[in-house]
Amino acid sequence: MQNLLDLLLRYHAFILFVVLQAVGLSLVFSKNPYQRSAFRAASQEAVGTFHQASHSVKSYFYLKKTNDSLATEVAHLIENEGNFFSSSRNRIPRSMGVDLGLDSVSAWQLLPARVISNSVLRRNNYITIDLGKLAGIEENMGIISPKGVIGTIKGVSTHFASAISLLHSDFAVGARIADLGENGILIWDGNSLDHAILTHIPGHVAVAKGQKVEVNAYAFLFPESTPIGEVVDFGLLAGNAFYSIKVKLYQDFRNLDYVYVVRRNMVDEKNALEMEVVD
Amino acid sequence: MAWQVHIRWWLQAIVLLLLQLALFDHITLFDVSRPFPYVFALAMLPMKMTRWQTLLIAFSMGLLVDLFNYSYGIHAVACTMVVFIRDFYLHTVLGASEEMEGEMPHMYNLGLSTFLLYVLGLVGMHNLALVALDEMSFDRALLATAELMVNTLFTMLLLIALEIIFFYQKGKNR
Repeated sequence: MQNLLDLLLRYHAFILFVVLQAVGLSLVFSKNPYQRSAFRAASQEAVGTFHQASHSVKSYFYLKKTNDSLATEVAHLIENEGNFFSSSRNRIPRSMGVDLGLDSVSAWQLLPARVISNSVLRRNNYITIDLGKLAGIEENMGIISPKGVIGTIKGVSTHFASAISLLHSDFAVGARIADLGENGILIWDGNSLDHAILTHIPGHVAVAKGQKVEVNAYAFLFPESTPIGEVVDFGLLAGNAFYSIKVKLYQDFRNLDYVYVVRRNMVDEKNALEMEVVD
Repeated sequence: MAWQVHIRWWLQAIVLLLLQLALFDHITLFDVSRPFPYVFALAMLPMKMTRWQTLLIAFSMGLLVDLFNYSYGIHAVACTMVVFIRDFYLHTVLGASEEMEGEMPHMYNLGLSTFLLYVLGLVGMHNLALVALDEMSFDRALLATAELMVNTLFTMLLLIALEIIFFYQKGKNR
């Protein structure tokens, strides 16, 4: 016993080091969302408040840029008669004179928010926005900007929410090549801040540079036809069955400021219906 | 006085941490690098502090930076490693004398070349751990190597600038 105590006393620094490393590494390697969200939940409000304070200083330096982008957005809105994201295909022409009551129950609602913290350099990047539970934000809501898809909300506290960015290995969104109507999946391979990869497009399709890539009809978290980027490069994968397409993103993730959280109004109804069919 | 050194260290560490979280976390260089000069606080830890104290301080400091960066333990592990190798590196590898016990390691008591090697070792170790734990694969090997090198150089330059502005003159006057 005495020997054991001596040993512990002698190597206490090394033992402490091993214990601390074990705790740290278990955090790093845990894919367990509970552990991670517990780690965040305790601190989200304080961290968010700090980020907001530092953002309010930082945003002064970008006022001109922000104004320019908002002006462009307004111009775009006026041009498109307020139909920002709906493509002409799924719009119901008013001239038909049929009142389907669709105006009163819009399927999507956009909540304007500001990005107060944002990383871009790591393999997995995160965003914090200044809206939280009080504003009706929930987990797994999409975030978009006029230039494209931004990310998905993963953690919510009272006044803030954190999200995985499109620049994250867990992020994927159903996307299509607008001109061809071919559906695929858009992911980020980590190699460039300005490019993502569109996969699952079959090899027989006539892909060309400059074609527009947008959110497809099956994407659950984002409105159909939200822009993403355009094709800059493509190549067939082994076996010629599928393309790997390099997409230049319209959104520059280095400067994110005003974004919109997408709230699906009839999500509960849709879930209930799908559950019914499954049962 | 030992306790005066400790208080000085705490004040400097708090300022460095605030600078890190409010300023340096938002700086990106050439699309590859983000500097982490807060590691300077670990390099300056007074030599008289016991090992378990320095280990706990480093771990909590890293965890704090993790919270603000969504990095889940990466900084905590890197900081603990840096502090663990620090004494061994300074005394056994660089052969710094034991006379400076109780002081903070600085350019004026280490000498220029030893100080540079000391800082390079700690910053390099810190960034190596950060990059390795962040990537965890060789998918982006080229990018990661560039990040490691630019990060280490950039952080070194910042630390040397901080050292010359705030500590060099003061040390000479003593």
